[in-house]
Amino acid sequence: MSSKKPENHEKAGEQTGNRNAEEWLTLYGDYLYRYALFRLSNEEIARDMVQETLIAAWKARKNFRGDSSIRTWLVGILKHKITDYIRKQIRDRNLANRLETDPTSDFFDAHGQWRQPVHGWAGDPERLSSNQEFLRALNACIAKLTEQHRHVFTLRELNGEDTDTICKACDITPTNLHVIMHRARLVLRKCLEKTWFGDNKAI
Amino acid sequence: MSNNKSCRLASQLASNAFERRLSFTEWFRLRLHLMMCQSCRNCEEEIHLLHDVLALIRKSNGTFEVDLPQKDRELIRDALRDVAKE
Repeated sequence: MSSKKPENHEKAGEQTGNRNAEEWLTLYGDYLYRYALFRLSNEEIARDMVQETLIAAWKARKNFRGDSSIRTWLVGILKHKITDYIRKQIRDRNLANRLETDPTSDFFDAHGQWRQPVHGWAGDPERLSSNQEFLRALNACIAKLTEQHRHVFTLRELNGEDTDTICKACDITPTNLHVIMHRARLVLRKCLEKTWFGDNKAI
Repeated sequence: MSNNKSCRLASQLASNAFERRLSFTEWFRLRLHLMMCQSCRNCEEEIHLLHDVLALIRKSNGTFEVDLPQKDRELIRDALRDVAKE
């Protein structure tokens, strides 16, 4: 034990050897919950993921090497849990191969032309990605996607999985994945146009 | 892509480009269509913007500010105590 004044909570925990899950809950509970809720859009499942993460971390506490912060370590575990959960949902319920009505069919006429002109808007990715209000609007739009689109889109764009991994883990054909991503992107674009960009909240 | 005028197909190709490499023919047809179609140019730019924003969110573990509700916090705490006893 060191007599050095701890610089932050994380160091305090490490220095006293107090790697205890309840303390992690106090310190990082909100952070982990936000992370999970943003990716799952469901409070109950987000809470379960945080709980499973803290239990898994506590059981594996000897594996924490201290070469990253505890928070980073916990987020790493949480990310795996979320990926596993979504993959299982898609695979076990055959979500990806379920035939759904195409939510983008309203966007085009019989000749494949846009029914309404697509307006131009722009924003700065850096500033948007850290703007609280925009993140809320984005999350609300992701939450409105169909379950199939939301889950596949989250694996791909928020968890950053490559397409081969998603296809294998979730039992989706590449063609199906491409169709789902296309539809999800167009619906999301339209939703954000309505709630954000077209409403002049561009950042 | 049999129909060069189809915006639906153009937007499909623009989206596919994030997941796979387009063939030269596909790429060329997409560019040709975009040259002629302002709506599809806008659409392509906007899905690019969204893709870029999402990549940054991923990198920074970005999320909005919302707190773990107290009752959930207590449920988790109880579960952790049970596990610690084992």
